[in-house]
Amino acid sequence: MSLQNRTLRAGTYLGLAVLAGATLFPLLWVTSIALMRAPEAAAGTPSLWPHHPTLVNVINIISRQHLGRYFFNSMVVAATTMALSMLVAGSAGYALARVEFRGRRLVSWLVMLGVLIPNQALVLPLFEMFRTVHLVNHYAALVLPAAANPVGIVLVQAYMRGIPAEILDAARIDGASEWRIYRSIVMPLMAPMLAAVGVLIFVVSWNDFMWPMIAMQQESMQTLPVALAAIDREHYQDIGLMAAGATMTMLPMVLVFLASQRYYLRSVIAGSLTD
Amino acid sequence: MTRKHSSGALFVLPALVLLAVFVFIPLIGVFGLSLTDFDVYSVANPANLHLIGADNYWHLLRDRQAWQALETTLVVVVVGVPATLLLSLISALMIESIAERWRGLFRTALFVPVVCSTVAIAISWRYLLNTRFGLVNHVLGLLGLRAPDWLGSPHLAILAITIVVVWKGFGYGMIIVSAARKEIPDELYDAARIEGAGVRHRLLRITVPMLAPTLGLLALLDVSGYWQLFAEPYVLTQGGPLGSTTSLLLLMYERGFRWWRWGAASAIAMALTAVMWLFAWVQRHTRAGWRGD
Repeated sequence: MSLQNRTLRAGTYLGLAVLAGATLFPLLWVTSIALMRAPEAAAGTPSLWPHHPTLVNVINIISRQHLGRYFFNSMVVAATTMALSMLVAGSAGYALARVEFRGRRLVSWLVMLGVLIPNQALVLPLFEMFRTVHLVNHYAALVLPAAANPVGIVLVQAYMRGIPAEILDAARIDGASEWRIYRSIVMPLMAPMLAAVGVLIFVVSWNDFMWPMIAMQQESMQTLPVALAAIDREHYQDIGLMAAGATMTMLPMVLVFLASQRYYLRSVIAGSLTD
Repeated sequence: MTRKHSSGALFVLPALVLLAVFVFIPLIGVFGLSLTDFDVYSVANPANLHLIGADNYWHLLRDRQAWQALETTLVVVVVGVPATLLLSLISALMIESIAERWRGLFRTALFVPVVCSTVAIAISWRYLLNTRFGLVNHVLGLLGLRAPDWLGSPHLAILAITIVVVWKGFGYGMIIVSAARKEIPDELYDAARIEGAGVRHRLLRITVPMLAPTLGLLALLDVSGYWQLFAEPYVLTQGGPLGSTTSLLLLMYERGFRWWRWGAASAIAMALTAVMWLFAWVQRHTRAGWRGD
């Protein structure tokens, strides 16, 4: 290996290490602040590491700010949204890719149009709709609009196009019903992509902010990010408390990502390959 | 086969209903609202609601706050998107060039901010940028540099927000560019090497042109994401100082849900949507566009 190549290689590792440090450091630091007592957290010379680690911030935000309740709300909303999206995106994506029916092109086009509509621009009429049917402050107000996410459909549709039609045609000739084909042949085939869509939607739903803030005006129904922003407006000077809240909002998704990285990244990559 | 026809429609029905009720009808609704003077008085009594045509849009054109919000949002897009693309590209190429067994580790590290709640990220960065005990200014002080008031000065606040947005977002593009880089056949590089092309030549003549369609698509994804900037200024600066970090969506939110001026807020929402369609159209019709067609 030439000297030039060796320098380039060393530089690459160094550059990556610096980048990785820059992305991870803020997250690690806020976790570290969460474990500090107030004087250390606000010290003029920032402390990198809690010298006398304490759980007082964690205990405070759970007992006084009811973080457990918000955690529960977030979990229910994200899990339900995920399940519903997988059902909807699975069947629609499959049919758009592999079943002939009248209006298929139109539906495909509508789904693509849906991708291009910024959903946060729709919050005003959405709020009015949910207010009219008295579903503001209900989980449904968060789950239903989030399940109308066209991205999942597009991902499944593109994935199914990559699967040979012959497999399905053989089953059709055997006289299997469309429902039976879907359940026993299609579902197992698209399971990896469905899992990817599921994780993606779960994380997106957990982190969603603007619409949940509007739709959940009642405190006991708020999700973690919404509650965190509200607590922040009152307690932003309590650095340890807010750091604990931020850490506890982020950590579950970091763990979900680490556990399902393979599926999660597949959905990211697939999203860039589809039309 | 009629049986097949009807069942296909049944498969897409749930998706179609959800999209119609929660995307298309609200889109028509927001357009409709933008043609009215719907405000706090109309909430009290529907008789106070009038159709006023394009008045909200005319007002928007002469609204200094709206122009400022447009400028703020554009700054984040114009500065943030190229910075994000560059970081995504550089980090992806670096990852693809190192030994296989280290790639996963770096990929994970750079991607983690993408899955984190924006609200939580904004709170974390507010402490990093704090003037009294923040680490950023502490380090600048150690280096003998002037420590600015990041979130307190109108010019710096929008820059600080752009930095946070780029920091959180570039890992997403890194994954996409990384996957696209794998698709470039090794033969191209082998041939170039035989002809004596150096590292820089191979990068500029093979890698970047081959990645152009991917980068074009990524640009659209980043633009549409940054165009919808909301949570960062909401938490970090509440739109200030002097409205310098009020994005279009934040302005829409304030007009709509703080002042209940729904007609005016809906006009902003429509303008936001229209510009996003313009971005998508431009992206499709430029050479760098996806698939190049």
